[in-house]
Amino acid sequence: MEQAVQYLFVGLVLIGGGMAALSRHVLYNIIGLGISLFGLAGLFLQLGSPFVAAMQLLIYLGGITVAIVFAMMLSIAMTLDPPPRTPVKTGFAAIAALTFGVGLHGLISTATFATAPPAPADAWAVAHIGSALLERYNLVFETLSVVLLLAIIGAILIARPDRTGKVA
Amino acid sequence: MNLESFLLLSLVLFSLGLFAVLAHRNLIAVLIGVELMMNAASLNLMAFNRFSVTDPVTGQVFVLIIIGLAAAEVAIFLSIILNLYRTRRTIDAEQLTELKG
Amino acid sequence: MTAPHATTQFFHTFDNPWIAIAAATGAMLGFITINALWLIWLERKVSARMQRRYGPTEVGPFGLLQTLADVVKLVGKELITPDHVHRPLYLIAPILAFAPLAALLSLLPIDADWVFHDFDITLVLLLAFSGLNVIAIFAAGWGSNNKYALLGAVRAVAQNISYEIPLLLAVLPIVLMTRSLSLHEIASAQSYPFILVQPLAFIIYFISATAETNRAPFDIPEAESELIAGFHTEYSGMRFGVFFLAEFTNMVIVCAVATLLFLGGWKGPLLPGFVWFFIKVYGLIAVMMVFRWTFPRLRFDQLMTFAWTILVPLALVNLLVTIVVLKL
Repeated sequence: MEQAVQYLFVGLVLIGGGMAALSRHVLYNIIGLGISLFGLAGLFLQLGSPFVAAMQLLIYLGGITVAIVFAMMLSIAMTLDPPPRTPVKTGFAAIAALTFGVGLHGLISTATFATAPPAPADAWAVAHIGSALLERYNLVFETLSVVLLLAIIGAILIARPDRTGKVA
Repeated sequence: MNLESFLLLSLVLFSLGLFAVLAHRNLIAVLIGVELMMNAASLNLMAFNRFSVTDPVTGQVFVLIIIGLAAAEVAIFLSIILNLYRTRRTIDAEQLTELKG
Repeated sequence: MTAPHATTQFFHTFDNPWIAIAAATGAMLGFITINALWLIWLERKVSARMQRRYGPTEVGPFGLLQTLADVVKLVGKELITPDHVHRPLYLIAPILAFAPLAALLSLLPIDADWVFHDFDITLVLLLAFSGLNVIAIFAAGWGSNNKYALLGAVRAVAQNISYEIPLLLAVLPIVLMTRSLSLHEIASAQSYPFILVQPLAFIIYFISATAETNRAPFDIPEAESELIAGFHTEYSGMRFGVFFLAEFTNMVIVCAVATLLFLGGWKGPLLPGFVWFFIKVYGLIAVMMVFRWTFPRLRFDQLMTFAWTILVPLALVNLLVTIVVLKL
């Protein structure tokens, strides 16, 4: 039963990824990204962390996907016809991605990874994440908040028209 | 599913993201490719967190930071796209060639 | 983790987990339908009385079966799919609006030991799934291939994401006070209802929740007199019914979270816990309905200004004061 649900999520990730990468119309790219992110949230849940799964849904699906959709609506990218095919560029991109994929797969299959016994259930509690963020990884947490502040300020500055109405 | 299957899935997702970045002309599709690659990395980290590590806190914190940074990066990327659309009326990567040559 | 109650034990007695899931889903869908029937009747009565008229009185005692008659009529309508719509988005939007909310009903603890499954992060899950509503609105608006629908969808997306932030910020002081993200634990920890110590947080939460469910005075997305019907203009028959169901279910979830966080959930003298829970939830829903027929609709820029310049700073100040008081 758990296997079936797991295969469902893997299927969602692959279908979503395929739509996101291989479709030529930008609307289907976005829908594919949404499906893929949802499947990934399910996989995170299977991998033991419901908190990270909830955060993935909250931030990626509820925030980032909505922002991309918004930007797309404001730039009317979806009403444009798909751009003409560029077989040379697509071909080289496919070769590059395939080479990378096959090469890294060779690397992974010949490597041996350390295995550890599964952690007890109370090691996955949310309280541990909270205390880790504020004690061990405090610097990273504060840096992330500074980065987000800079991103907000930068985004406002870049996209704002100046007082004469022209874009800065 | 064991560790190798998760790594393979994350590799497939990363390759798809790489293809999307290289092959698409629409900047939003490029952004989607970048997001796919970051998610593949997060999946990789969570898989290792589950199977190869004794204390599972570090992986989760890492993935949360990645998600936060991805949000910041998307905000900047989208504001650049909006700016480009306002000035040049296009978001086609092939037509943004001012620095060429 | 709580001891499972008779209901959860009932579902656990099924050998096959698929049958257990199907039974639980059936129970939740049954609750949603009965809830919608009852709420539509309540809305019509409340609005009628506020407008000095009687509302439905013919069908059944006090007009209680009127909604059933309306639903039968709605189900019997022909499902028209206009030619010009973008079919995948158009068809999936009602499902996308309804499914996450229906799934969330399983997370709400109704009594001290009535909960299907108790995660330790139910609050975060609730907020995450409520954020998926935005995507459904966009899919409906864009898929309808209709200028009015698209305008309604754009406004709805902007409104929803703007009011998510005061919602999250208003909930944070409660989380700080109880040191837990689980709805069940927060409700159990209330020896006195938290609204007494966090009135501002409750007000901000309730206003943001009304905006999240696209109810008046924040119903620009469905503005009946401005945009025909907003983002569900092109939907007719039972598809529109599904959107409607989603809206009422959203109201129940949001008011249930408000009672669990601020009003003490199932606690109360004399009557059994779940009766108090439903009294409180439907009391809050009645207040939301009174809002609809009392306040005029907010203009779009007033709406955004209200969220960003009034609610967010107030919520932040409230959070700061809570932190200072808790640390002393």
